Amino acid sequence: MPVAAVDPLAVKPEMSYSLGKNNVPGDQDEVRSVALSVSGTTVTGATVQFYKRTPIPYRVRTTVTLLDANGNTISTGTACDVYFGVGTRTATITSFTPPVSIDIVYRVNVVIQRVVLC
Amino acid sequence: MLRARQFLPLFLALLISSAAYAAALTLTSSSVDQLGMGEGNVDRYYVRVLSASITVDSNAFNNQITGGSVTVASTVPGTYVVTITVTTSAGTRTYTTTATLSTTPATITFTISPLSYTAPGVTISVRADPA
Repeated sequence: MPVAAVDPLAVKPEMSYSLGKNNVPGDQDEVRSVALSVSGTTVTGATVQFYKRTPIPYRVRTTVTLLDANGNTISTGTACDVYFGVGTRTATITSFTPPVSIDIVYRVNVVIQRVVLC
Repeated sequence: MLRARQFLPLFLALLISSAAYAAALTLTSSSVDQLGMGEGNVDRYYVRVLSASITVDSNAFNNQITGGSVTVASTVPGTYVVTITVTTSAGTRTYTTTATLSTTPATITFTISPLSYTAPGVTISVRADPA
């Protein structure tokens, strides 16, 4: 009698994303989405969409942090730009330091913050 | 001489049953060998979630999350039960589906009962287990 097929074993069966929302005077922006770019298995960038609620122009720093299985930060990418008006805006992160494989990333944190200077 | 003839059928019967027993043992040992391979030949998979997004009911600050989408891949192609958990300080919602995953990311769109999108934000967890 043949032996039944065996299910694959999970090494990393789960990933989580944390999208930030602010609630301070003059900054009630919220993250709506994040997409990682990979080359092979290396994370090379990220595209973040957030909703900007305050009409005046200001600088927003977008930080994407990659964490390992123990919750330790293993890589970070940042973008900072001036954004105008109200609506959905896009921040583009073009590199992560250091470069890491997606297979050791267990958690992705996305934080946006209104700043005076980039 | 007469006795030898009498025992010939019994001898043949024993010979045939021994051969059948040996064949059965060979087949059994083949199956046992497969079991003995153990974890050595079992595939090990990594889930890759390459994007996460939420949809909201409005652009008001006190808005609610009504769903979203994730793009998911697995290093071992197959059918998986994918569980998406959405958590804010207001509560938790879970969405479960079955999906065929491979190394090419697949987009899974989900809907949940409305969940307040509160500061400091939302966590979206994606888990895939073999179906």
